[in-house]
Amino acid sequence: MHKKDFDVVIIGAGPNGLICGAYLASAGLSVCILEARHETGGGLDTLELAGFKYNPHAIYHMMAEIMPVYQDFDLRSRGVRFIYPDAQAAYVSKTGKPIVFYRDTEKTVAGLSQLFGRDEAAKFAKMYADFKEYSDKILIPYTYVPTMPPVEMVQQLNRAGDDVGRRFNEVAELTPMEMLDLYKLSDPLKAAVLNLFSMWGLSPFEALGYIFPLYVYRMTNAALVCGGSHRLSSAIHKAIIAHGGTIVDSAPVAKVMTKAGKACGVVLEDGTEINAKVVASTVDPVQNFKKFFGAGDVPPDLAMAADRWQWEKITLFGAHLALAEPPRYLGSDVNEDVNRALVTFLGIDNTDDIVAHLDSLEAGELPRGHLFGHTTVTSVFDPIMAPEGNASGRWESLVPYDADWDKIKWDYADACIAQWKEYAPNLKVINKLVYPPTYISAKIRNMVRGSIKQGAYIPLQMGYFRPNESCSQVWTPIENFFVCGASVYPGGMIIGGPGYIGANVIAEEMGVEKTWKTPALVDQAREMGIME
Amino acid sequence: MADYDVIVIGGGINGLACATYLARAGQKVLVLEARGECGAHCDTVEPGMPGFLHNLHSTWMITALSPAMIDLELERFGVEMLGTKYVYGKNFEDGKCALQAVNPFDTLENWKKLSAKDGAFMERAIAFMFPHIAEIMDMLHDFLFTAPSMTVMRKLAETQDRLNGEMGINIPFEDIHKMNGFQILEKFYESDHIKTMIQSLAWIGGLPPIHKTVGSMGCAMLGPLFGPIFPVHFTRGGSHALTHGLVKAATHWGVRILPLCPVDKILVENGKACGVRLSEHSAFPGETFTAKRVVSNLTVVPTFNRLLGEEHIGTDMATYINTFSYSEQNLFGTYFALSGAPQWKCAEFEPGIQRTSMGYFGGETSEEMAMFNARLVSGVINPKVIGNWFVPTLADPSQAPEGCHTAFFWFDVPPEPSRWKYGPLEGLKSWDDIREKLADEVMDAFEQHAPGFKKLVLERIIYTPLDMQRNNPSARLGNWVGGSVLPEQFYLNRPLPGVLRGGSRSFFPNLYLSNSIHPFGASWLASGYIAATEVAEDLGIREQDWWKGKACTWYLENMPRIPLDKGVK
Repeated sequence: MHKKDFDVVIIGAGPNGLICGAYLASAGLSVCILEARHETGGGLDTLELAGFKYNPHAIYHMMAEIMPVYQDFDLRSRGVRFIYPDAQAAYVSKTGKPIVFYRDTEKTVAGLSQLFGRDEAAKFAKMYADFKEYSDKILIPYTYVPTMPPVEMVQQLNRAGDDVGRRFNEVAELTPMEMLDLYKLSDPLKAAVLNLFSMWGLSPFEALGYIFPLYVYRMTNAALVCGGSHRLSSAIHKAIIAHGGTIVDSAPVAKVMTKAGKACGVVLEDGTEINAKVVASTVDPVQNFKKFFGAGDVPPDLAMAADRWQWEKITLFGAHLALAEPPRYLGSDVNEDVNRALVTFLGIDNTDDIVAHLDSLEAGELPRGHLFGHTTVTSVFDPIMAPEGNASGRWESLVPYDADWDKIKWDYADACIAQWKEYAPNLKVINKLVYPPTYISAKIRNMVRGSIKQGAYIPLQMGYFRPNESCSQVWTPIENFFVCGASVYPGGMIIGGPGYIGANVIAEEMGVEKTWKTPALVDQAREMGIME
Repeated sequence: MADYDVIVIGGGINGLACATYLARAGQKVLVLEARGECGAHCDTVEPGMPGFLHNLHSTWMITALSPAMIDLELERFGVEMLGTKYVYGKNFEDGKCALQAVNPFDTLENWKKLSAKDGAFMERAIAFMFPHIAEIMDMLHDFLFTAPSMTVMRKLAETQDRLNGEMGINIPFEDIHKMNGFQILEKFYESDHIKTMIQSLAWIGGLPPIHKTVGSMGCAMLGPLFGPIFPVHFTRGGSHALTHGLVKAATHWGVRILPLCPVDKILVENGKACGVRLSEHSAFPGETFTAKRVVSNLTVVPTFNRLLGEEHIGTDMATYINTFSYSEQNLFGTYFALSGAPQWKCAEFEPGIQRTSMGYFGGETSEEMAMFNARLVSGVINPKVIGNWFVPTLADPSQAPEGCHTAFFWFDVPPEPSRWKYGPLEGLKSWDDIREKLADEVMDAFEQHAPGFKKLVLERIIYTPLDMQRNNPSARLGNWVGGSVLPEQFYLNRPLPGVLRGGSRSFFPNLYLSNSIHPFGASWLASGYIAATEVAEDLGIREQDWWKGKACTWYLENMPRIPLDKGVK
């Protein structure tokens, strides 16, 4: 690279780094984004191999077109097409009839009514309506504004003109399990709802009540990106270049440079120095505050917070398959939609079993026997993902990080495939790729110990406390150094929050005029007094 | 009014280069790519253990000789060349090896050890080369980066005759033309080590020595003419970094690139190409875009017979175009993640082989090479593994985790094999059945030349001609140069006589080709350059003050600062 002086240097070209960079470049700042890998996108990663496309990382997009970046940069015109399968989640079982959640709630409720009777279906409908309301009015708008201390937020919601604020406050401190009990659902429906949350390795017993509704609602309104998740990052990438931004691949950062205690640029691992007025990092707290700075340059409480940072205890195992044809699942004779669901869950029908499964994972045990896996066959909705007639399939299940993955990965994949075949007897594999949790952290260096969200979702690391009180609002105690990755509020997954909030804060800090408008859903929330 | 000035169908590197030239010249350009990622034949994947990058197609990058390096400012967009001290090596079972180095005097040293006579020949070639370098580069530019013509041919003949004369070989160019590669090398060299090295280079360079004209030109150019200067590199971060550079340059100059947009049809109005319609499976299902000019970066058969179809070109033309051959040579790839660099047996003879990032083994003598070539042409997989090896991480350590390496082997195979030593085969579809077994034999061969190799292997990825076709259906039978390079499909004849009205302008009005044309698909970006030139001429925008790069100028100016041996311990 020739140019070595920028207004802003961003560390990491994952979704948040790219989003942040796109906004700042559009505001006229000179922006340089540095990516350690040879390819940008972070978890928006698509492998194209011999005509099959695979998404080894992010696949379901819970926020899709809601993310402000989609509208603000007209990503549709750059080729991003979200595909929303009508059937979103299907639970297939060897004993019972399949449960299918649709985007169309009425259709879901009608199906549930047939399976479990009108009462159970009505309970679900009530819960789902509440969850949708909490999400649309509160949780989603708050995803795109800086966080505030919990007490202030409670007060704000209590003052809100819409009483949804007060209703939400009543449940926000509950655990997912307590919330489910509130609506009195019973198995297998209860298990199916819980699993939309616990499939991410999240605990039903932590006070994460405020994100549980969001996951249930959005995992039943999720989208795929046509052609694979990487198309989303690739489109943002092009928008940045078109706005004059610079993106450098294979450029891992070694240090943040400081002058008089203020960040003033970065040094790459190969020794290249790049100067900047502002440095924004999208990586994890340990790199941010332990690796990038000398011990004396970071306030002790921040270093301590980084030391105490907790990675996710439970991670994911993936098997990515080139299939001769799309799978046909058990239960498709009763409801054909099980073959056309975004996610198909195999044999998950009992809440106690889910809890026991999570407990053993927390204890570090490798699942054997029943694996609680789920599958997605993207080519069913997006034929471009596989050669004509073939299918591109993905297995995913929860596993602990600590196992001898190098040794067992292929055998474990075979066990997963065997289980998949039990639920889809026609499964025929042309080629298989494995993705054990060790690959997650080897590929994306801030997903330490397979932490796909850059750090555990536990109350101590969520909301105003993500990553800690002094950095959750993008500013850090180190002048000119900002953080806006998945380890910062509102967190991981492809929600486009941290990078967007980061861009807003940095633009204000640098005194440049924003070229973008506040998202309509944030304006609405303000009108309702849900936020300031 | 048309939506665009120019639509380029296919975001391979030549399509991107063509689009970028035209956009920089002020045109409104749209590139439609069928895959997700541009650069179908210039890709880097990470399909297995993270950090091990595998370049499934273009690997030995000759972009350094492209005028696009300067015209499109590719360095500014992140394209970085890396090399090793020795560019190419051929290992032999007798423990020796032949080398080509970045510095011709290093090559000379190796050649002298193999044959005093051949060393002396190389010395004369070097002595001729340097005083004439500007003239030779000029000729190279005309040959590679302008439309084929008899004028260029005459100039080439003149230079070659003079070179041969100065080196004491009095065979006129027209006679060379009638020979194949094996025959011409007999006139130049005595050592089988050197002869087979040049044969292998011509072969993997897309100019099969078995054919007359094509083979003799390949061997004559890669031997005495360009032996002294050999601009082969790896791009930092993998071959796909070139695609990235082109995508960035294109986007910077305003090209709209749309991925996932396979084209179903070229639209025709009044007998002229005027736009495209996208497939129903594309990111813009069924959408149409219009343009003043359409450039197809697909190969010739799908361009005319699928995108235009008989209804526009007539049955006779469609039948004629279908005779274009894709079927000669292809590659069976075995890619390795390694815990360390291969330790070659021939390093005892020549330690430089450990600083060589690409080479070839198998084919000990010219006779064996000729036999191997003959089998290939007749659809038989050679019983002995012969082919091209790479250790890209010696040049670019970023393609593997610290201390580790990648290597791969391209076994030259017929894409539709009829026979292997174990019995008859059923053509293209056989690859799914024999891939593992053939990869085992590749590993055995590697072990023989680099003892201990198997212990280094952490993982292997197999990539067959069938996989290549699945990856990019326009590259029929997985052909990697846009269609076989045969005498009847070479230079003035390419792709087929009568298809072009120039270097890229097709018989169909307003439709141009940037694939299947001269010279042939490679990372020198020549086909895209020729297409851009002709479209620009036809639109009256060729004169641009920045559009002045010449073949090899960038390389000659920048050679000293290209890092070497970054991954050599």
